[in-house]
Amino acid sequence: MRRPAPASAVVGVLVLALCGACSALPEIPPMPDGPLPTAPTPTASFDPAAAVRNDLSPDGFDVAERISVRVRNLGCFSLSTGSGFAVGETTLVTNRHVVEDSAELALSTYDGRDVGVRAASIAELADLAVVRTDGELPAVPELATEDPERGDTITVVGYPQGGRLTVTSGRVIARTTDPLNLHLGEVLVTDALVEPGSSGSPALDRRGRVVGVVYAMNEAEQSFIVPVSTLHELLEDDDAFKPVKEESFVCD
Amino acid sequence: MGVTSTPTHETDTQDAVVSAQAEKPPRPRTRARHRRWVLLSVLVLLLGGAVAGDAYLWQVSEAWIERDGQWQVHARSLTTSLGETTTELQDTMAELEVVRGQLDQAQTRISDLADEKAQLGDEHAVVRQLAEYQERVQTAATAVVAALDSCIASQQRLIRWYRDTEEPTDEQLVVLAELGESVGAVCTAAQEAKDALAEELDG
Repeated sequence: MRRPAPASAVVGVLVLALCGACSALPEIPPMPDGPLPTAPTPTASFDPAAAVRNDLSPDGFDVAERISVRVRNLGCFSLSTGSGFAVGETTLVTNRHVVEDSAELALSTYDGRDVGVRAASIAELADLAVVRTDGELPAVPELATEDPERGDTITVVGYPQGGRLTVTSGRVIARTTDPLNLHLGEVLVTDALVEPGSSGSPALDRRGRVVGVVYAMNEAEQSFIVPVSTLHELLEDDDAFKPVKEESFVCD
Repeated sequence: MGVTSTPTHETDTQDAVVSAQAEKPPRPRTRARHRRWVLLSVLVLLLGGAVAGDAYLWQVSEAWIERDGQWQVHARSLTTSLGETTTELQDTMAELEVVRGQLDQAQTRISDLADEKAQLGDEHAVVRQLAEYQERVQTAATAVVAALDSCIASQQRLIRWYRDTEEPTDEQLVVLAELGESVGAVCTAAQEAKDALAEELDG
């Protein structure tokens, strides 16, 4: 062939290149279809009903407050008060000395609701008692699986002096044998301030789990607590709690 | 006009020359013309491409301008909506604070009322127990009074019998002795009941 052949090829290549470039061009951006966004899309979902179920109570009270029960022990010409807390829908735990020598037991919840008493049982190996109720208790806490360690923060919720529901905090400072010989085994010593009437109050950890039951105090303003491990042992033992004789509920 | 024909022999001569020169490289003049043709073609193609590109970019630009206008309108709408929503949120937050305060007050009130009810319950229980005790004391006192009445009545009957009987027979004396023992028992029981009540009241 003659010389013009390469030139035609160059032209052809240019044509192809132009066509290729045209085909490689992006299409004109389409206009938005449908309505444009009118409100920010939430990044996380919020279910108020679930929040109420899990974290909030219907009336805004904490679970720690809702589990606490005031115990009135009307003896023969004597009246004393203590505290307790629910461990089941119709079962609560308090101290043995709170329900002993009683002619009449009366329970009331954080909101003043009265709850009838069906039966009471006391433990022989610890200053603990179980009271069965006629009606349902407002809330049931979780029991911790292990005792708190020294230095752990606890919260005590109860009715000191039989008065208003009170929340106090403190730390576990030691384990010791029971100074009152009411309890077989070690008990916890805390610096949480309690008063007469606080007996039977639950001691809660940071997660709101029950880690013990207040049962005594000393002059150094230290409180003594039955550890939750003992509570577990006694609750799992069918023979640990003996029913309070009905005769003891009647004054002569 | 008349000088258009070319002698045949000259054409033949030229063809012979061209054919004779075909095997040789093109002459510079022909090559230059060819290069111009190629260059012209390339320029035309480039010009065509540039025109096509301009048209495309023009359309894209127009589309983006139109879209930008829509977005600006929408952005202004969203800004207005955001402002309204922010205001509503602030109002809602303020209301929430008020409600929280009311809830705190309600909780405090509930706790106060629960405490008052518990204290009243304690007082009521004590008063009720005291009332029951007083009722039992009243019942016991009534029984003591009845026993003492019975004792007094028996003693009065015994006194009347002694007064009305001047010379009792032996049988009457036996009955009198039994009656005296009976009266003594009644009065002793009454005395014991009175002592027990007094001790209970003193205790």
